[in-house]
Amino acid sequence: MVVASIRFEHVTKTFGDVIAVNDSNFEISEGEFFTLLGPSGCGKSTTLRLIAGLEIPDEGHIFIGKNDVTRLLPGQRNIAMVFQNYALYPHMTLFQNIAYPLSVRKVQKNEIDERVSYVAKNLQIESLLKRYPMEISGGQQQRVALARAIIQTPNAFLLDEPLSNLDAKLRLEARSFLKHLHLELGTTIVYVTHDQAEAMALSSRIAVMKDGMIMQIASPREVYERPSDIFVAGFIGNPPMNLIKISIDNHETYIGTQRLNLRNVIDSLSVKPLGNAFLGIRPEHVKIALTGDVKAEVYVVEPLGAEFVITLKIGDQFLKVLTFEELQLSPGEIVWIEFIRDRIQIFDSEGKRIKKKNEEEWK
Amino acid sequence: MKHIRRKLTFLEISRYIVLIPIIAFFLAPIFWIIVTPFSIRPSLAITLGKPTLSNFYRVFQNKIALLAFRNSLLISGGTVILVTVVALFSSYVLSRKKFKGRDLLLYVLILFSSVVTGVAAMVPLFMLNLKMGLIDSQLGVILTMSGGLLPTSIFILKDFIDSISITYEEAALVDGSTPLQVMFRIFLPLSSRGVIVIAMLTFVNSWSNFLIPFILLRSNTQYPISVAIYSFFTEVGVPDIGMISAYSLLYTLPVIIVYLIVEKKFGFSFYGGLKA
Amino acid sequence: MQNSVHLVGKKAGFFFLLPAIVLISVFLIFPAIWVLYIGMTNETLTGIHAANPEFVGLKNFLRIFNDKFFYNALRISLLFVFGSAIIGQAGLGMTLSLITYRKSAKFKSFVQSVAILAWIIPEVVVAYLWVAYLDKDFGTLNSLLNWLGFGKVNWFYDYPVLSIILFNTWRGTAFSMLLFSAALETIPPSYLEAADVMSTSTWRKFKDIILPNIKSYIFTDLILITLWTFNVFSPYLLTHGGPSFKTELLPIYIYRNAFRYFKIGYGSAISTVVLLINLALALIYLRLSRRSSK
Repeated sequence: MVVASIRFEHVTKTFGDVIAVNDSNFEISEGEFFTLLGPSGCGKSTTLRLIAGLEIPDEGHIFIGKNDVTRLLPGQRNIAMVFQNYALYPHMTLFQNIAYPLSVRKVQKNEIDERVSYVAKNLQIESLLKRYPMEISGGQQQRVALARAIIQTPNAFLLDEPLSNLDAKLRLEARSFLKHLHLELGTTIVYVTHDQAEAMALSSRIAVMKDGMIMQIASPREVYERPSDIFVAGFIGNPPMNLIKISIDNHETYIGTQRLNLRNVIDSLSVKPLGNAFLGIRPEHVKIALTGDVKAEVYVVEPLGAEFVITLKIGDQFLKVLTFEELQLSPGEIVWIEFIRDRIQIFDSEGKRIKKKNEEEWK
Repeated sequence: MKHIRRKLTFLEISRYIVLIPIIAFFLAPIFWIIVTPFSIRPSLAITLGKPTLSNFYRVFQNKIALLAFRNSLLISGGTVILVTVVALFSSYVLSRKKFKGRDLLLYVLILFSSVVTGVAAMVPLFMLNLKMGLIDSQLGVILTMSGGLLPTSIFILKDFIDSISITYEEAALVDGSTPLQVMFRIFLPLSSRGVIVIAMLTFVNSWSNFLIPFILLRSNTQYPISVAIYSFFTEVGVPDIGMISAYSLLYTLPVIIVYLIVEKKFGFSFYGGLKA
Repeated sequence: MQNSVHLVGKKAGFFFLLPAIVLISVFLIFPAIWVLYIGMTNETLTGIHAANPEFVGLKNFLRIFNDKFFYNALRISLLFVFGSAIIGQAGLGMTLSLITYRKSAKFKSFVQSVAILAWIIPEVVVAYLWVAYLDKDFGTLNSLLNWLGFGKVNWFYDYPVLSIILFNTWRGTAFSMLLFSAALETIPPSYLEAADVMSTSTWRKFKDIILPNIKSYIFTDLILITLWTFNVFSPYLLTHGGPSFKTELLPIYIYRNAFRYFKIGYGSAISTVVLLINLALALIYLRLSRRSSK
């Protein structure tokens, strides 16, 4: 099985008045688990369908491996796809479903039998082969859809929100299963989801999309700790990064009327911001202490079992704190909060993250 | 729901008082057709007696009756095949491809097919068949019937196809099928229910149709069963009531069978289609 | 147009539609327009005008409006539609649907099957059944009446219009019954249960709860069966338009002129009038159904 890279060069796709994919450029390396992440309507599904060949770009080129596949039919691209609703052919048995890609390529019957049993065994669905799609559970359907994809030994797998039709518990199991599968098979996977936790857990790299454009492509760690702008910052993480409006004049920083000493942080930036900006800090990097940087009012406390999410109010802004300690706090109380300095990210007035001086590129 | 159990209220009694004459009204004419074909002395009255099959033998000895049966099969068969195939191709495109004016087109089609009916439509249709040399031909009847039955069939089938997710076809494409393979191995099996429904509707309509063959056909060797029966009971002389009633019963059976099949498999949600 | 991958490309799609377009254009749309043209000629199938039909403009139409047979046919058709469709089929259909409303499935199924049987039997057979049923000497109806003490009635001669009204009512009731049954199903049972709790009379229940909720269905039904009944030809099989043109409905009037006297031009003119009436009815129906689905 030859594993391939995938490349988009200036790909644009419009539907009527809507630009679904806007001048998209990226490259997916061989064997990568590449996730397209974003809210509905951001263009991630369209991008996947463009790779599959179910949509033809209006402009640009798509390469799989060395081949320009832009004008090729889906069946000629050597990719396999798992749809959100699995698309198992209802009038065929599961065996016939899995065998289908082979039978349309006129593979010999005994080879088909062998390969189907092999894949079915590996996905633990061997006992179900004589049944029909209607008769099995959602989780089993998903594995049959995977089997049908795996049996094609494609250059890449395309998965369109394969976990969203499963209930919460099953989703976690299936997620681990998928990750394990990727490690075993080593095939390039292009994955579409709107669930940032899934993207974080599974991916080699994540492409965060909004309104047809890619906002950032980076590893989960980078997207988490160094989001490129406030959209990405507000999308990744649960709860997402706090984005506090601040104003900076000369060296003093203000949150509302409170002054905050961020001199070292600002000095370490490659560009010095002036005027309005955003302070980005993850909830787990905000500490409630006896003294701190600013004062805030407790708004609500949400106990989640292992952790607590405390929503605080500063002026008319809200921020969330994630802590594992049980603090006896009541709504209305005024507390001091402290920001862990080296976790602060500053975003300019347009929402773009300002890089630090001498920032290293992470892989 | 029997939550309030009233003993024989006035409402209940009046329900039956009204119902029984109505049921009798409906059943009485039908009773005749059940009894007479088997009656040894068939007449316009209901004559009960020892049942016999002699009337049916005479049906099979009647040359016109047999010819008419062949003609009905030809006409209905031809119409069903023509309508089903043409409707399938059109409905697929109309369902899968959205183009400007598609809904308007469907609207216009349904409008025309409900307006252009009956004898008023037959006058120009007769002239059309005349000019095309199709008078007294089965082909003329088939084409004329198909024109009238297509819009409804297309409408119904398009509805069916709309309900088949296009994802199956996409998945089949990505799985490596050629478009032809997608058509025959995936799409046709999935749409078979709809196809069967319109085939049955078309069959019932064409089998029962009297007016079109009556106007377009001249020779009694070309008549389908509907016109043959009419000629039997209006011809000069003493009609062979036993034979005609037996023939009518046989003629009615396929329609009843189709109705039972549709009822069992689909529930009776197409009453509009059957009448139109 | 989207550049999506479909099974059937643009060109192929056009060819897929072509057979239907051809068939429908030739055998449905063209005749509907052509009839207007023929109606303006004096074409016949025999005699001089068969070979040389002349364009006569609106002469035929003027003749229609001076033809007492036209008014006779129109009158009888209206009477027929009123009696057989509006009162007969709709009334009986409503009655049956109310009788079977919220009753056991078996009961409903039995009652409906009886009416449906009358509806699906091919029209020639139905005609023959009624020829037998209404026969003066041997017919079942007269036998029944006789048994009940009434004298024999010569239905086709003495009450021709009533005969065809009864016939067509018998034939078509099932459709209205099914439509109204479906309409009744759309009423939330809680409405009627609330009325039961308040001990509302049956008549009030019908008037205040049932009727308002199925109003649109009633209109739809009335329009549809009017359109169908107006064009129905099967009474011809019973009475041939007689005796003495007493049951000559518009379709039969057209038949006589176009196919007995072979006056194709004149027949086409009458057909045009009928088709226009149909068009009006169909447009009302489509407008109504659009409104109710919005």
